[in-house]
Amino acid sequence: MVDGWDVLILVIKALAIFIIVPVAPLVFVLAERKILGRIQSRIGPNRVGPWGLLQTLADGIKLGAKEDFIPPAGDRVVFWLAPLFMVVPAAMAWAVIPIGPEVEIGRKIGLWVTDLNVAILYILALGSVAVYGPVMAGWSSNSKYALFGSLRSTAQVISYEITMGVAVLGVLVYTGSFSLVDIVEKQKDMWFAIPQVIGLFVFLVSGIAETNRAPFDLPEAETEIVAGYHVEYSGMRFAMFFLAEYANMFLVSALAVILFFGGWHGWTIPGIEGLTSVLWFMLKTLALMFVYFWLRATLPRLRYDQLMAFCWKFLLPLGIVNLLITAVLRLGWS
Amino acid sequence: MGFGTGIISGLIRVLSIGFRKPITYMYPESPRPVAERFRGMVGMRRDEVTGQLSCVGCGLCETACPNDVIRIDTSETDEGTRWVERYQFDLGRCIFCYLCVEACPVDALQMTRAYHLSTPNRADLILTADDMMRMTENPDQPLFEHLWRD
Repeated sequence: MVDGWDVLILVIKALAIFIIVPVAPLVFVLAERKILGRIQSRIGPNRVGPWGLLQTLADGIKLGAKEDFIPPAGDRVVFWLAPLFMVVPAAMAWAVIPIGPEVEIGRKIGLWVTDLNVAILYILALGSVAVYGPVMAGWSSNSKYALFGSLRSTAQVISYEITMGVAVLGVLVYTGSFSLVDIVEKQKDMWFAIPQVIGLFVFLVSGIAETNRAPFDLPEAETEIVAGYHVEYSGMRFAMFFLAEYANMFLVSALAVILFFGGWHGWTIPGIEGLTSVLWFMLKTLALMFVYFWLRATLPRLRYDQLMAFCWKFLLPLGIVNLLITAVLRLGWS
Repeated sequence: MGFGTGIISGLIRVLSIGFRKPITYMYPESPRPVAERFRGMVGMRRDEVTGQLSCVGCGLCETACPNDVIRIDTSETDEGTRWVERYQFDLGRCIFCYLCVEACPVDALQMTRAYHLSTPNRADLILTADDMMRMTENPDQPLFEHLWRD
């Protein structure tokens, strides 16, 4: 029976997602710059606000105040749509991410917007939609560098989506469910990171490649093709690409936590299980975000043929072997 | 060495560097220590007895300077005593070669370690003997202190 409270709770959850998705990147950008700074024996941003905490906010305001330039020879409509194709899937995917268990506040409330029974498929599908962002941006900019970037992005994201899917399949064989809530519940006793360690590796590498981050940042390689597909973008539209990149990183981290690191499971304090569970989830996700920054600080960019060879000749066979082993083991159990 | 060990040792190395103290000096807030024999701006000694300029106006530094930095205007009394009317030092042209310091017969020109010399206005850099005496006595003070206050 659906009553007014249910609707209100749903609206609150949706609003929370709509606040988290744009605000989290602000924090992550600053965190990344600070961490990279320390790793390079620098301090990082420290001028705007105390310890530079308002740096990204200042950058955001600066971007907002900039001229909104559209290349005269470009395709206006596609140019206008491309950033939306990046941001909207990144935000939509958060609808199925469970950040905590079902908690009791007067009534039972699950800490997720919706528990979709095909959540994994939904997220993979949104990932495919997000490929259109770089493609459209590169095409409509009418610039050779942007086109190079978008071509690279297309090939890379489509290739690594396959390995990501294979890695996810290993988990699905274990759980027998597409629902992320079910997957987390099944990890109450043991994280899937232990039996699925190869799957975890394949998933994380594919995740980094999917989000176009170093060392797989070929689509926006600054030193080769200046900024890749968003080279012609400025102001708020560029900010949207930036936002989408960090929102996608956050999403992939959260997904890895849900699929492999037991989601919200961890030692809980009796009485406030709900809160500690959410904190566990956040802690694990932030740790994975740190791995992103750490890898960026360490590894140089791959060459394009290395990138493709790594995906098709190494990662995909590894994922398939992992899937086969998992399937055989699962068959042996039942 | 197996597959991927290089990446792992690289990651550990990077992380260990991340826990070190940054080498950055927060310059305007906390001064950067300079070497003992740092070549700073040319200073001027204040005469211990009179508390005035110790330059005798011989003009040797003017001659020694390769870059036309120094300009001295002198005048003479009827008895032939010479005094310095104006001592002008264009810091914007100075190359810190210290040839003037070497040339000075009365050690009026001195080496200092002063390096807080920035200004947005080039005309500010034409210094008087008073500025140079102040910087000799207090080399850690910024030359244009009014610009440093928020």
